[in-house]
Amino acid sequence: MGVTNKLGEMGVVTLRLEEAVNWARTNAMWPMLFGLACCAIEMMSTQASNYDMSRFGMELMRPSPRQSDLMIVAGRVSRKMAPVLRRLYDQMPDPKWVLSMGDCASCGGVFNNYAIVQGVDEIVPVDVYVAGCPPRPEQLMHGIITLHERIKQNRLADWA
Amino acid sequence: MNLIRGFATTIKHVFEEPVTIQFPEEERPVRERFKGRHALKRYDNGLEKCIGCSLCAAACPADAIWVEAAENSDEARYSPGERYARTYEINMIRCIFCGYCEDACPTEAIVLEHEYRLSFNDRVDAVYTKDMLIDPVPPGGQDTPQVTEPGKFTRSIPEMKDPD
Amino acid sequence: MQSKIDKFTIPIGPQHPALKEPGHFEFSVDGEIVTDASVRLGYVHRGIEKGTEGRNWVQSLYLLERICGICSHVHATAYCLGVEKLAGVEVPPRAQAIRVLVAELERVHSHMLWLGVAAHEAGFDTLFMYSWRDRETVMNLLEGITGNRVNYSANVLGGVKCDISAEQDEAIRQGVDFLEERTRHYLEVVTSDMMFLRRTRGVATTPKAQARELGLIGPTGRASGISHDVRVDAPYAAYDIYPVKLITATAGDLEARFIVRINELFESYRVIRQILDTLPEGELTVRMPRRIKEGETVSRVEAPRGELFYFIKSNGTDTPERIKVRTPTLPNMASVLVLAIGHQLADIPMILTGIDPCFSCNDRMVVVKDSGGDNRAMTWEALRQYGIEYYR
Repeated sequence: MGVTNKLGEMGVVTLRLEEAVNWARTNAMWPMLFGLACCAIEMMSTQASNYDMSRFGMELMRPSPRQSDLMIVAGRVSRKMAPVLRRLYDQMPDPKWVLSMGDCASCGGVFNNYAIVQGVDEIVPVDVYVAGCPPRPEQLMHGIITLHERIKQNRLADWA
Repeated sequence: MNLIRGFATTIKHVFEEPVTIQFPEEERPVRERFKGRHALKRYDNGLEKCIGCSLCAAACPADAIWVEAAENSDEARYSPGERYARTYEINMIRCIFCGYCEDACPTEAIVLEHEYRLSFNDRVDAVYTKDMLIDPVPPGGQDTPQVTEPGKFTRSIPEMKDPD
Repeated sequence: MQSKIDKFTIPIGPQHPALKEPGHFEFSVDGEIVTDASVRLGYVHRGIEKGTEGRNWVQSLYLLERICGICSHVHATAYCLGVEKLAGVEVPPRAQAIRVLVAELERVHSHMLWLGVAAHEAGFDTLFMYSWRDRETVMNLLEGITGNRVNYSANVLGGVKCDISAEQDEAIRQGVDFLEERTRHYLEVVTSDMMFLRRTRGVATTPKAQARELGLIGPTGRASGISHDVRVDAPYAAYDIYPVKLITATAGDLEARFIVRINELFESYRVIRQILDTLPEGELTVRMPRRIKEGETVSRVEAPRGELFYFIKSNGTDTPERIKVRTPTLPNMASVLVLAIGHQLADIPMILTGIDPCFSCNDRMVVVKDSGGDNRAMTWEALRQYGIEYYR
């Protein structure tokens, strides 16, 4: 509100600031280590040398939620694990994004029963859902690229 | 001494070619038997292979397929035989890509192809309807619904040719 | 004034950099030395055993494969062997040989995964990157044969789904040759790198008597000298035609566990080559009845982590009545708590990784009889509501 009003005539400046901030956010996104099950193996495989995730700026998998931007929920979330997940999400600083990797995190997958939360979006707001059981490393990277494209659409009016 | 051996190993690899596949600029083609996204096939003359029997929906371990069948008539024919699938939806984020629907289908209508780029912004986007799944019309065939002569396509599993 | 030594309790998990999968450990420490330990599991419980009640025999196969991502083929093999024994069906020899081939390839992939993860816990990230790069060779081979990289559904009830063609045969041989040379290099690294040996030699030493008392199985037990291997004691599938040598070590510490697993890799390469040379001709599947005869059966197979045990009960219909799974990590987990006592806190991740834990396999539900003495059998809806209320 305030920024757009003050710099209203100099439209060129605001557009560039948006682009710069979005570019900085997408190129240095640090994921948080939240591997739960079989999808964690494919996430670690994406981190290894054949499908390198550090080309996208995600060199370090930060274990601490206070130091990370992106939470990749890889694997099934049981009802016992759900309050843990919510607490970790609350500890992450803004801006933060959630990527739900695999069938079980997105909607409960094959396990339509008493013990699994049917979709992580019951607990945390999810930005991108990646399908697969488990998704290939290339599929996960395509999901990350989808998330990057979504972030690049962010406008200054939304967060100022 | 061990330090030198360790460093020699890593320095040797500096001069070798990196094994990283630069996705998305460079893609490695998947293997022949890879199980990716589904596709509904057609015959050579354009008729759909799916007859709406919903054996795939009964076989699916994750209950990801929804089929509603309707009757064919000769004025508006979608598939050989009596029935065709009016509604055919697969929920991609319930599907576990096991290939059991492919094994259960009697007409080889549903096949798992090689497409794997499936990421969505919303859970509703993940439900693929029939027009998103069906193959394009092969060259030389007509689009469905077709008008056919009566008595020609009465068998559900006929001896008709597949497109190449 | 008497000052009491306060025992500190350090909780580790469920989300922790040392753990790849969630589990809650509590260690009471006195300075840096651990004095007591306890564990709490159940964070990835999925109710698979209850899930098999509503599905028929073939759908349960795909469900049981997803108990564990790393050892999914042996779960499916154990289930298929049990059901085929109940139905009294004889599987053709080519299918059994292909089952063993995929199982040995899975053992290769699992041990290389473990080598990378154990090195990562020790701080040796270089070995992690190298061994996972070589593991991609095995993943590509498995994708070529079965179609998926993880959770490959190669088994069907009554045989296998996929065949080995000539160019896959050639690719497997090339891949195995490459991997054998790399494995020799890893064996040399693990046994002679002084910095790595400081972290593994003499840590968590388990003499044979203690290992037998704690009930260690799998490569962890074999590193202490216990010579049990289901493939040798009770050969299943095609293991009587392609026998495997038993590999043990005597030291019982972490270094011995590394050596046992890497030597098992050499054995696997030899068996894979032998199967490719002498693959019998024939059919791939045999016809199975839709309803399986009544009865109970037990099947034991050797997963990469130890002995896997399946109990299958059928009541003559086309859905299973009860399937009970006992996975190898559960007995080995108890030994971590005993062995951790006396070690420093910083050694705990290495001790935990030394048993090759697979937390996904572990979570089973125990039916507790309440004080009235009766076992309540709950329906799906009641159980689901109970779960929601409990964690509200």
